[in-house]
Amino acid sequence: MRLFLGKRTDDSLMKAFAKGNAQAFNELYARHKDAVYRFLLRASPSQSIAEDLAQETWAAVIKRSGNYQSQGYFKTWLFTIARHKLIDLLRSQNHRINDAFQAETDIDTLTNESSDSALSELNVKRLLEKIKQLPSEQREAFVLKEEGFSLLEIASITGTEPETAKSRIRYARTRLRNDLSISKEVV
Amino acid sequence: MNEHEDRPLSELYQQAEDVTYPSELDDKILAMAKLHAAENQPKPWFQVQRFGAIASACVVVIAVSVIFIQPNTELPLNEEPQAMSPSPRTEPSSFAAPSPEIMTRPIISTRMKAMPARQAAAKETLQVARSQEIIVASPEYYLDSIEQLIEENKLTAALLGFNNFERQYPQLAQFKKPDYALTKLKKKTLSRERASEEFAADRELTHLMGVNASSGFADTLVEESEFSTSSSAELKMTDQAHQNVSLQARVNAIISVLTPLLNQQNE
Repeated sequence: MRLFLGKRTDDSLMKAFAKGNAQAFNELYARHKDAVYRFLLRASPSQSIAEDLAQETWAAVIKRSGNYQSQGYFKTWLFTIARHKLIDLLRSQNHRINDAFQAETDIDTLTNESSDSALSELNVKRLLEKIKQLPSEQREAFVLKEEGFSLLEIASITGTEPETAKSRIRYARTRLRNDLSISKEVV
Repeated sequence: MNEHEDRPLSELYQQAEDVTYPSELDDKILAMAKLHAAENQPKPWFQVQRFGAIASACVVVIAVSVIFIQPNTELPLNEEPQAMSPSPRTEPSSFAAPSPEIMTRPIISTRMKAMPARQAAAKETLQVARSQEIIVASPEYYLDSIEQLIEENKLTAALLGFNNFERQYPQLAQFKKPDYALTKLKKKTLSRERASEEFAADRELTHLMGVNASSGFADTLVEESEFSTSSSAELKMTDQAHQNVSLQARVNAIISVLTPLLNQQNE
């Protein structure tokens, strides 16, 4: 029986899980699984790699639950683990991050769609491909920003200063805008 | 950062957010979590690591207590000793020192106050057993206590103790010659030797007379011969006689000391 009827914080759920409450983990997982997977999908070369990384990330969370220091930053901690998993994988596979993200389709050739919805869908696909072509630091900073993290949190996850994170995001956006030729007319 | 410039990019990114999460990942991760949670669940009290040691210690304590109690409960606790009549135990006696019950009772009550209930029950059983044993072995015990009182020059108390002893063991509490029992035993032995000699003679005579083996006379002779050859019974009787001699000697000594007081009491 749950005595606490309000929404439990991530930290309290993590504590409960560390004490053997599997239901607490289920709730925690349901809260964050999409965001983590999305981040890994955007930042990794392929969907299969993103799935593997998501599994490894959550396995690491489960394993480290006993050592988790509750400071109110569970999501930051979670994404830090995900990022480390991503970097470890790319290093182990000897990927050069910039080379790994090559466009699977030549999206520049798909610009002759006529309908608005098709145009919008095309722009989304182009955006995702262009994100993958960004330098890794800019890519992760941009994706994290779009996932709702603050500059401080991004700096904490990526292990940099907030100003550095801010400039990476700015460079990423400028490059994406230029690559996609985004203007008010396009969107 | 220019928020107005970044808004179209963010909106485009939001449109790309619809990602179908792989369901097979859910199964794997949740199964892992369930397993981990099961391992980390707090153990019930009986699975605590030290429980085994505590349980074995309890078993040892119980075993030790049983071992210590058993030797004193060889006699059935509910059975009244043959040598005791119920009256001296129930009667309130002014004579305090020699009575084993009166001596042990205050010790039990003061100890029981301090002890837990279980220990108290065990102790009570032990004390009851001990008191019963003391009462059964009372001739020596009574004589010991009376002698001690005499040594302490508490002659009145010794007289009371002797009176109590006399009530319980009237045959012992009489002045007799110490070698009375031995003399009696010697007489018995001599009579048996004579009987066996007579039996041997009789057997020859019977054989000569041709008495039938199944006749009553023959049976009597056989019984007598068995009685005469039972050496273990004789040994027991000899021991008993020696014990009686020593007891009688002690009784005689006590009577000789208490004679003036006994005379006064009779007057």
